[in-house]
Amino acid sequence: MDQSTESANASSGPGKSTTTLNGGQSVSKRLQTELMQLMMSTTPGISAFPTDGNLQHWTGTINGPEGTPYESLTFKLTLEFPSNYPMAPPTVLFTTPMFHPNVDMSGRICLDILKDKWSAVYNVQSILLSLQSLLGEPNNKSPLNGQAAELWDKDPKEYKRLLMLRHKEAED
Amino acid sequence: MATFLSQHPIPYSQGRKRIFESVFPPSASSTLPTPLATPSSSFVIPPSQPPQTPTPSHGYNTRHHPNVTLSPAPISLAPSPAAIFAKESRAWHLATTYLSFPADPFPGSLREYVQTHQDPTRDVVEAIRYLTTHHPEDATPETSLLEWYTCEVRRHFLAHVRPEISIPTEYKDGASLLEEILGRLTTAQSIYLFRLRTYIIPEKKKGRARRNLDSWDESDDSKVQAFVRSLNSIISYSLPDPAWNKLVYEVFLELCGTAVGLPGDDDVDDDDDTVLDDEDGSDTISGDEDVYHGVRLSQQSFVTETDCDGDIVVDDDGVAIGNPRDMDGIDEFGVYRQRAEEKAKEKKNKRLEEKPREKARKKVLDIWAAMEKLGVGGGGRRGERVFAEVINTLLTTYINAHFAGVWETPSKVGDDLNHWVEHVLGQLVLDVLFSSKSANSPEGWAARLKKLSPRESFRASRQSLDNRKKGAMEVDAGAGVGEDDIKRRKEDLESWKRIAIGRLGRLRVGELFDIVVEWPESLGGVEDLRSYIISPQTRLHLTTTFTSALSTRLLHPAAATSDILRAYISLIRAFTVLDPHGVLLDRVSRGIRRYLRERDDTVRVIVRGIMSESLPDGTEDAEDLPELAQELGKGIPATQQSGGLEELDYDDLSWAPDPVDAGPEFRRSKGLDVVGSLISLWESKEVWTKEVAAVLSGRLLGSDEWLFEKEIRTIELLKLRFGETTMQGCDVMLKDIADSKRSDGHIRAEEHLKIEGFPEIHTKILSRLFWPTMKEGGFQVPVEIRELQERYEQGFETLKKKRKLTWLQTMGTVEVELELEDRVVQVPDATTWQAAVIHQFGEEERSNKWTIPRLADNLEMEESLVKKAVQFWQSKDVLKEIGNGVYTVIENLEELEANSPAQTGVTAEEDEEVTDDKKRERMVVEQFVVGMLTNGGAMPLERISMMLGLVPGGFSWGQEELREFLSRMKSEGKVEYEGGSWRIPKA
Repeated sequence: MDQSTESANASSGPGKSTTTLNGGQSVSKRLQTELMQLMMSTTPGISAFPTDGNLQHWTGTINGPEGTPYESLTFKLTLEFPSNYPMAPPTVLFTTPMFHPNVDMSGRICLDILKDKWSAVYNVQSILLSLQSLLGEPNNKSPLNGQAAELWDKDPKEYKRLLMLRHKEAED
Repeated sequence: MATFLSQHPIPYSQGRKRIFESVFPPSASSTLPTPLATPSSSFVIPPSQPPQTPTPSHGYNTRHHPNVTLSPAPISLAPSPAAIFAKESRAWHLATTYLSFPADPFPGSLREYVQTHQDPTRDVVEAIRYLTTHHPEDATPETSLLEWYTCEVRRHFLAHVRPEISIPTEYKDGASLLEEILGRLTTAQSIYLFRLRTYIIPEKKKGRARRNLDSWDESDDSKVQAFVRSLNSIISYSLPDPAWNKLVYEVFLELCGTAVGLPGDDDVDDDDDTVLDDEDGSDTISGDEDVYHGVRLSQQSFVTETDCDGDIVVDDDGVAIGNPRDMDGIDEFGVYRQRAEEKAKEKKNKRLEEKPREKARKKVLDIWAAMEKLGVGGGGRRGERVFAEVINTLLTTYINAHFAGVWETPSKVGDDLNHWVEHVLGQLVLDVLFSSKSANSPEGWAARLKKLSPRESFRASRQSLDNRKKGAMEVDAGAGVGEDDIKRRKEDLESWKRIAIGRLGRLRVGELFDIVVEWPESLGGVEDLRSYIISPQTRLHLTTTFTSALSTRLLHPAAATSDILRAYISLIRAFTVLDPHGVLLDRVSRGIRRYLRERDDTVRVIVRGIMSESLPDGTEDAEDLPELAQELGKGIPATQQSGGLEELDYDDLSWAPDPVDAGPEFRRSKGLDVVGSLISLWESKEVWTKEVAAVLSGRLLGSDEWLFEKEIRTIELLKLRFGETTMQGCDVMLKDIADSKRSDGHIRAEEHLKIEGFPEIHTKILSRLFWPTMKEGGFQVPVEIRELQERYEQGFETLKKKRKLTWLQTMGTVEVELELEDRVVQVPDATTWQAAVIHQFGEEERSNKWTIPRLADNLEMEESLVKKAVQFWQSKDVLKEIGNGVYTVIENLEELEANSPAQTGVTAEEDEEVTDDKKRERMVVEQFVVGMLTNGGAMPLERISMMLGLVPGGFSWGQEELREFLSRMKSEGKVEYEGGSWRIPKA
């Protein structure tokens, strides 16, 4: 623990660019930096924090964007960072039951930047922001959840009802 | 031999018996055949029989004659068999009675013995002569006086001498004990031999018994040899085994140690202090005598022994060693002036060291000679092995004692060692072992000794060595030495040298870490190592040993980065000398490089080192490595400039493949390049340029100079390393400053900025993108300055179209002069914000009392900065606190002295400062707590505390503090507490 905090401290200093280096140390260094950035920037509606102090396993929280069916709902996710992060994207899953055209029933997400469009310049913050905007602007051309895709345009009321039904499961 | 003795048939039963007895020595009770005798007319029956002395209680000195008729004499000329028999048995009786030893131990020496023992009477002499001249063909203890004597000696030895040579389990003076034992044994042996020679085998050199005894080694009489062998085997057998070996080992170790110049009780060191040596010499002599005082008695016996034994080994050698000049004389042959001088010096030194050493050496040889004569030295393998062990130990001890930590350069250690091995150790070994070899082979027993006395052999080997040195390969055969012998000796010597070098290498490898740390004072040590690392094994040994030393002694958190770097730099230098190919360097530096990469401040320390000339004065600390700046100045070794293309240089005639033990990622480097090695720690050059830019900007902005030659030079040198494009940023920075100088002059002239009563203003105009990020948080500068700045801005914008100036108000320096009632305070290099704060106090007459928040509001400056400024002026005795956080100017110093609440003021300040830091910390903690609870759900205090370990810089709060903090957050509605856990309130 000491070691990692120490390196995080320094990463804001001269050694910052060392985070781009390969090696086991660099993943945790990078994640430390991201954590610090995330904590200090306090973007409203998104949040994430390492689970149980494990830097490669985070829990994220997204508030549903206003003006969408998801308004005032909170969604939890897990982020698993591979050991070659940021060369490879993290695995992101919704843990809160989700009703969304691009999210399947087990929480898997279809989002290009988490797949083939991944780039090392993305970070936790940008992932969460992308997901937040995905909630409001689903990509209905390649749905994982056909029903949701259909209802999104045709019947927003039914959509909202099913969403709330689904979301309620979480509450129970 | 009596040749006329004719063969005769032996009765069957007798023949069998003899075969049997040749295997099993007959006991006293066995019956024996009549001895065969040749007729002799010389034996005169003594007129009167000596009275029969009572025979000693032992053995078979009385002869039994069972039956006269058993073996009729076959020779016709003989007197009647009965007469012969009677004569014989009488003679036998007389001889054996005389020759048997009394049942007490021997006196101290042969001489004593010779003096005290009675000469034989005529009868006895005659009897013995009769018996010895009439040799029976088949010798058994009953028929041959010699055989009988052998048995008798054996019996006496076991019964009376052996008990005296036992080794007590504890002894103080090993040498004297050993000498005593050897003395006893030698005395016994010489007495046995003396009697053998004097009475039993005096045949050829009748009347010259003494002489005969002296030159027994020259005797080709196989009988004597057989006797000695038999005696020696008994002696060797009777020595208590492990104790004896141990004793000999210890004594030899001590004596040989002294002999070869080990700093023991007498510390006569090598060449250097000739003046001191004189005193040392005499000191050690007396010391020596002290040590051996107790031994003197037994030594005495030795001396007598040598006297009696004449010129066998000891004396000869003594002379040989006593006069090294004798041997050096051979060299003078060569007539090389220089050599002669060297020799003279050596001789001088030798003479100085000679005495205590020679004493010990002589003693060793004495002991060895005695042992050898007794057959327990070289004769038995035991002696040689013990001696070898001693030499082995000595080699290591000598090297450790003389060369540990001796790293002067140019290193003489190798030569010293070679010289020592060749001349001191080698000589000792030759002297000791040579004689023993001959004793080993039965046939060349005396012959080889005769062929080549140790002195001659030494001379021969020296000569051949010298010849070899001079390049002449012919061997002096005139000395009578087989070429084989010399070769072997040469080979031995060479292998000893190799061993010695190996040992030295091991020592140096062990010391290598210290050698590296002490660099360059330790150059000599590295030179020594070069002759060691000639095989893959030794190289591997070196790298593994050194790597583990590195990781245990250097690569741990307790070592400062600068120390590690310093060691690494020394390591690069040392290993470049050690192994110019760089393979070893490559191997050992991997660990240290990996470790350095993990350290966060490595870059900073290195860059500060490289740019140490540009650092502001007075900020140097132990962390800095100014030598790096010099290293950088040396440029890049020529061979490296070709870069990675070196392998493709087909015109490089000196190209050679990588050394076989090079690692897979081995990159050859032909020259010493410290900076290059350091900057290759990271592949990315950005790391470096960033840090360089930071240091450079500090330097460029920190002074009001306009000329930065040193910096330009450094940057140019760095360009060689990193390439033009990488260092572009720094180039721009330098250019900015140079441009600023010009534009500053221009704008000031254009805008007529030199106004009476107004402060002067100069600017440095920076191209924002190329400079490190600066703190932009500004504040309200005083109006006069603002005006000037605006006019300056205009000037700039007319000079450079489409460009805009952004003022960095917090950067820069101000020359402040404060006119107070009783004094003038001058601060030549105040910061802008310090100046702004003090300006507030003087600006308006209406108020010269300010609190910090008001100042901050007024100046739109951060409170912390204001606080710092106030503190600064307080320290200059310009401001003081007059209570309730209100500050005012001290116009008269007497005021301050009159009521000095400064103390309390300062402490209050400090408290404030702490809380200021704390505030920042609290904000971070709050963010973390919120993030944690948002994502992780409700958590108890302990878990929050634990998870806060992720906070950069560590989390040092106690649980109480955290609880308090959380309660405050609760009161602000940020968290809530329920059922022992904290959580984020639901929206």
